[in-house]
Amino acid sequence: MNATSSRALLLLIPALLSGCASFSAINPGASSQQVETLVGKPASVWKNADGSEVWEYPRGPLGVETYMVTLGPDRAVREVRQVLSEEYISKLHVGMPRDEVRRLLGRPRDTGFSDLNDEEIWSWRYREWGVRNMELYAQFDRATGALKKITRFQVDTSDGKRK
Amino acid sequence: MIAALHRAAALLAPTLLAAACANFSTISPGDSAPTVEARVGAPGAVWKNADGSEVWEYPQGFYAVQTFMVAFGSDHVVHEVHQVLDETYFSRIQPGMSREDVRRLIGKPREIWYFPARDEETWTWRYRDINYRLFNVLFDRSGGMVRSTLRLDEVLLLDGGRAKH
Repeated sequence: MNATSSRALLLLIPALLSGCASFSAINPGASSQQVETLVGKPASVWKNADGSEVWEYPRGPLGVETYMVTLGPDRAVREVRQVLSEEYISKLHVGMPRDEVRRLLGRPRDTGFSDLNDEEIWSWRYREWGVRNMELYAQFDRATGALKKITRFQVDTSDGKRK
Repeated sequence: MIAALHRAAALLAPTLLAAACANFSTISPGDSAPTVEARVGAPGAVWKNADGSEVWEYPQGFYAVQTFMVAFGSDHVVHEVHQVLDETYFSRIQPGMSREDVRRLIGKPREIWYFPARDEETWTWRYRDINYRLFNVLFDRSGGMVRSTLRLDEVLLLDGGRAKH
């Protein structure tokens, strides 16, 4: 290996690491300081009645993952979950309040509205089976804040051209 | 009694089918405006051109996957009939086009959504291309011009339909 390519490799490694903050490196029992050192400050913190907390890390709008780190009342990590996945998305149901959706899937990539149906729309991008780019829409009734409709689509990147 | 009901149902069925899908294939070049109205009803919108020609727009409803455009010449007879929810028409939509350009090309969208953070307005049409799909046109909302287009495949859910729309 020549000097140029090894320098390139050395440069590449930190770039890769910063590209995906290493949530896999957070182990149960790690302290809140260790979490901050590894992945930075959360975008939101949800406090539970029992003193435990959930730290939310959306990787959007460019990323397709959102991590939830649960800390016990002892400020030690209990679990790390990537919530933009089938397991969590399938828990959505009609009638679910907006706050509950927010806590389940984290901050949406984008929010919009429809005047015609008086709806608020939240959207997320995620990857299914690690290969398919998906778009998820949650449509809420604006007056009641209840989930009305859930739709999922596979994004076609071919721009209508046949492959 | 039962036989009478069956007869009634048999008589009703063709009427229901005809109402569910107005038959645009029965319209031929040379047909007059009253003939078109008699066959497929009044259009959802009419686009008038300076030369006296017109285009009549027939969207088929929220879950439908077709929109028909009936073009009349300045001689007030049908020149052409097109089904416009198709890649042939979608591919003509280019960045910079206006809302009216898009509307005249592929008709009324089934839905319009606004995304304030991106100052974006999204128009959506449902269509069929092997699978059911959505065609989206994303506009710069303030500028009123096309930014880009997005095609989405409807996904069949096999989880018992809990998240089904």
